[in-house]
Amino acid sequence: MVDPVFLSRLQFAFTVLVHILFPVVSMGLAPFLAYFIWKDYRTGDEVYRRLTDFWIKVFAVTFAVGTVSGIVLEFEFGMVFAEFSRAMGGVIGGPLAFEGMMAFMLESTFLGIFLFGRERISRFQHFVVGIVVAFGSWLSAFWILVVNSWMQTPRGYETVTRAGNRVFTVTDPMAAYLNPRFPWMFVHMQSAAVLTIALLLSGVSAYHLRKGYDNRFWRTCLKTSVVVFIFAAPFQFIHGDSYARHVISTQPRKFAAMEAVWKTQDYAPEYLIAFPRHLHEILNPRARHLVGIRVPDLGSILASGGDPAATIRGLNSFETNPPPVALVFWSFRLMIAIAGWLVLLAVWSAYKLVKGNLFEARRLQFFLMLSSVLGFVAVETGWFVAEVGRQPWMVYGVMKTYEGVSTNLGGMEIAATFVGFIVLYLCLLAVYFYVLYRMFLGLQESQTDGKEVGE
Amino acid sequence: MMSFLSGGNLFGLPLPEIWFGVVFVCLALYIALDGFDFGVGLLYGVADDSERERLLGSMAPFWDGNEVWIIVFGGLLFAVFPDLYGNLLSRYYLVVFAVLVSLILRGVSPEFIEHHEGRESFWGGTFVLGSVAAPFFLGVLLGNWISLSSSNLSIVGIVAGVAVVAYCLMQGVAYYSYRTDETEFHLYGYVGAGVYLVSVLVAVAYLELTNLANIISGASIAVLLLDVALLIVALTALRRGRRRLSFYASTFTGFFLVVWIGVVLFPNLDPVAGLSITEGAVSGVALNLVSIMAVFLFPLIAFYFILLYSVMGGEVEEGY
Repeated sequence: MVDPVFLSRLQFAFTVLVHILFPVVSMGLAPFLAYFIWKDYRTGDEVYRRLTDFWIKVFAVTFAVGTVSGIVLEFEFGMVFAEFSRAMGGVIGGPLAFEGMMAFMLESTFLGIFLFGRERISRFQHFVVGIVVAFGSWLSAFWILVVNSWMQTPRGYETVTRAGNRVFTVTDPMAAYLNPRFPWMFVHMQSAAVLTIALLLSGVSAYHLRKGYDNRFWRTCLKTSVVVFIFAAPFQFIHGDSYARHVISTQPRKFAAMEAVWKTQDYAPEYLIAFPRHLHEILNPRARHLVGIRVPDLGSILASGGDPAATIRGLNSFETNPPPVALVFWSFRLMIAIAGWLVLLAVWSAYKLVKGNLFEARRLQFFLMLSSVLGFVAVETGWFVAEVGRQPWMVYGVMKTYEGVSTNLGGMEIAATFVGFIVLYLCLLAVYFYVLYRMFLGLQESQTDGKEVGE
Repeated sequence: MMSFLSGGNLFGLPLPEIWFGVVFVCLALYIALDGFDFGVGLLYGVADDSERERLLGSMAPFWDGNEVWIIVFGGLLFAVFPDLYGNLLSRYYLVVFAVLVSLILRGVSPEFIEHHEGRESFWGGTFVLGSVAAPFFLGVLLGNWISLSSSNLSIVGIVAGVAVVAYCLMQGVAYYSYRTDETEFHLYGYVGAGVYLVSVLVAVAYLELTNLANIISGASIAVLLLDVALLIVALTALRRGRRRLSFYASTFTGFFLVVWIGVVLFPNLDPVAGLSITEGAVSGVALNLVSIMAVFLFPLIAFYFILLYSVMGGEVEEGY
């Protein structure tokens, strides 16, 4: 019999990891769309109209898939984490309801008008509606991240008794919602979405330029996205570095897992890569004896922002069972590696942009194209760090994950739905990518029909 | 700063009971509004190719907004009645799973019909399937809830599932007729109304005979009679070509069906768990805060919907 607790976690993790791709696309596209819509409105330049028309179609399909896969997550709280829902509804139920009432209501109704109402309202009204849609997708992230960050650094709550059970309720909404983690997480997530989509647009534009679709549509798209990318990549890198130090001060246990530090130590080295020392432990994510490539003192320097003598608290010093350290450790490294590569790419892009030969820089375009989905990989690994890293806590220091799962469900029921979700979501992803592919084909056909001429 | 939120209910209002009403209104709005989307999905299954694009066009700007009502219903249930939220969703786990899968199919299929060339008939099939299965399993959930079922399937659940699907069929016909002045689907509307009436009566009789729910109360009978009266108005109006009246009456038929479920449950929240509305509601800051937010947000939401429906309403254009 499979452990229902483990299956519940796996199912939730799977659905959230697929779902997050869609909000990243819609939130990341939002500022670009707002810009295209604004330029279209202000200049009347038809290239912005075509950019808006094309990317809003991508946005709409993404939003539809994101909505339906997001409903799953909302209801999954009650389905597989019923005990958690009962205990924490008095704190996080509110923000989830506000997300629906403030963000989804706004976004979905205005998107309907924006997509289908161009002929029915004035240009100015259409422009305003478009801006509102973009704003709505960010509002939604605000409330979801309020919930998630509260689960990382819970504040402003107390325990009460309701219907005979000990449950949690919010006492100070400002403290609970704007908890210490919230600003870090919100900036990091939104910046990640913008960076991911800037990179994606750059890569897609680069691909088209290289394939000979050298026209104003792709040139404008490339230039706009590269400019954003040049600022977003270093910003995310620097912000992420400070974010890690915030994690040290609020969740030292998670940081120890990110760095695979078992024994509390000063002058800690930084392991670039590390493996279990003993071969029989090679698949044990919690192996304690590691070998690898290390830089002396760098761990302490990074953790403290400059002091090689700084102490890093090890996993052994905590009473709770450590999370699967290897997963957190490697996810963190993959994310950092991607971030580093993107900074290099951003510097290179800036150089070409300033020199004025961005559109001729074939090698840069090639690497932008190859890197176009790396942002998504970094987002997923970032969530591994944040969510696996806090285990076994569901609400950090307050409630453990196994305490939160539904008690009435057997392994078989969850296994059945888990298989169902896997099949459905994989089909969904496959068709989603196919539909995007067809959209690009359609666009290319319209561009080779001679409707557009290169400059 | 927020001290006015702590302590008892704001202004001494019976907030748990008010919220019970509000979440049921959200659910009722969901069934009535997404009901016509589901109905359009059902008609898509029987329509010929020439009509299909127009059917999709009639719901395209609205379905996403309509669907948000179930998100808001779920969110408010979580925020105000967390025990009910956890109980219902985990107890009827497989039913909820079926609802979610159906909503996914219904939601993404139109996008894929439009963009996945050569596979229109496959996505048309999943669209119809989702549009049948989503209201059916929502009905099962509601039927289970009021008939105190402890398993995923119950007799009242299945009958209620049929009733909701039949309602959606009628509602879809009334809606489409209102938006296009087409009469070709009217027969389906009559069939839907007939099945709806029979299945509601069966469910009521079963609940009464097995003594599972408190059916014979003044409020319950009044709402039921009102519901049947609205159904008759909707049908008569449809036959006489009074399209707007028919659609409104049909909308309120679904609305009051859900209201009736709330009336029957009152003052219980989750009879299986022996939980009452006052026992199951959050209190203090949590309750007062969500109440204040709702006072500001519901008028805004009403504004969004009025805007959406007034801009995008009217006669459906050919194609879209």
